[in-house]
Amino acid sequence: MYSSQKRRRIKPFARPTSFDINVVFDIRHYQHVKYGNVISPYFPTAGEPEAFKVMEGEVLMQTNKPSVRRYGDHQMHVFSFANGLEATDDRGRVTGVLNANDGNNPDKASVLAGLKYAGVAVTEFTPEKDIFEQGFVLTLAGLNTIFNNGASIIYPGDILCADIPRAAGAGARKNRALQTGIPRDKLQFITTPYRELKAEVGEEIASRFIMGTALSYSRPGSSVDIVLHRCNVVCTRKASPPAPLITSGGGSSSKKNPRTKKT
Amino acid sequence: MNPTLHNNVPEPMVNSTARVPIFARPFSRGFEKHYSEGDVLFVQRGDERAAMTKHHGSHNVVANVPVLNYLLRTTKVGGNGADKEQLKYNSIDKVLNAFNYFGILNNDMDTGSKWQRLLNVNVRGRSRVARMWKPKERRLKRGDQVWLAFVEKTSSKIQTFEGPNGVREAMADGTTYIEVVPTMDCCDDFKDALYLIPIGIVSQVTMKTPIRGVLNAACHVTEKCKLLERIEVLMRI
Repeated sequence: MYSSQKRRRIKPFARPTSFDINVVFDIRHYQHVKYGNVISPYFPTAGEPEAFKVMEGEVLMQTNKPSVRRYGDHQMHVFSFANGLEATDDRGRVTGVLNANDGNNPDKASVLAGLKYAGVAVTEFTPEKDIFEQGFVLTLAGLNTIFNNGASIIYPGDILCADIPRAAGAGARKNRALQTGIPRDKLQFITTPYRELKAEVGEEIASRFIMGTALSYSRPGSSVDIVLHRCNVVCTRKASPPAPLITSGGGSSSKKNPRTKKT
Repeated sequence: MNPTLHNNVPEPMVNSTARVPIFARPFSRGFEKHYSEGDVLFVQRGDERAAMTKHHGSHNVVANVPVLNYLLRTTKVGGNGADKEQLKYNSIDKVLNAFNYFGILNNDMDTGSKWQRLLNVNVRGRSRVARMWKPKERRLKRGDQVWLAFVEKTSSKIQTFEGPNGVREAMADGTTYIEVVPTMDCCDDFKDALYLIPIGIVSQVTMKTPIRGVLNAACHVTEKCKLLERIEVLMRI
């Protein structure tokens, strides 16, 4: 019925030059979303436990909520579901009620302000079954093949960003490609070209979510080869010309430093 | 005495390099046939033929610096009836919407075909690249960051430019065009740039400093770019 080629994420490259680290699941955020503590989320929560599982090749994010600071360890706490996210300010405080399902295309910058891009999952993790302390593996850099679950066509050389799914009206499709084997309730983080995210949320936020550079053409729903690199050089010009100097690594609104190296 | 601890990895842990293959579509004038190791490569965006399908592989329009400069300088639109003929890539936004920086050419993976080239391109890590950069006052040295800049230029009189294959073509007086030039943070082009692309950090340099005229010619003619010495850079690290 299904060809194995369609169901599998074919990885033509064996992740050369990869940089991998061990991370742990953000179990506080998981419990916060799963057990209904989010009063008015931007995205609806998911019913089935499988939606909170981390799968290979998924984009991982961190939150900067106070609950993360209460772990009191030196680990990176990450998750792969956008369900139950709230709009927060840069200190992690919930700022107001936004709901992506009202169809008014609310400002997603306030949701992205509460997130930090972490990396791409190499191994999977099931929160209710696997050992929390053992964690799982995340890759930060190197060649990789991930699923283009966004709504954009990706061209070779495009700078890719991690992003939250598009908002949609009630009952409408979420304008994203669904990956085979992932529960329909689960809202994965998606890949969006930097130029599109910059147009939506501005340079400063978009450049925080840069994942790397695409190496192949990819329609939504197919895989995309990517060279992951977190280190991007960002320049701004201090002089008077109206257009800020832009580099391929993204831009910045910082006016104090003429050249800023972002990692 | 042999060490008691071993660390076995499938690749060298220091200065490793990632390479990817890319099919280059042929130009009618065969520009792509003269690409050589160390050429900085750009890929055209918005081309549906870049998709891999059941019937054909992914084919991309791939340009090195001389070919990209030729395309930016000569591709025109309009000129039929009401529209005035003008350069297609007359603003930086149009250029960036049409071309992406891809990587540095390493070698040819398919020498058997005369119609297309399967290029092996360095995209991360250590790479040999043509020495197109020269600081304003000093020598190029290790640790320097090298860039490509898109700068706007205007022809002051009827100028002729050499194309990638060395054939001269004229440009009308007062034409404003965009050109890709190698630059460093001490150069004038760096300050005047409309857009900058970081290529890498220099890790090995040759002794001989190239003269400015040769470097300028290497931005327009592929064969002159091929004659430049090669240095080593670390890309996207």
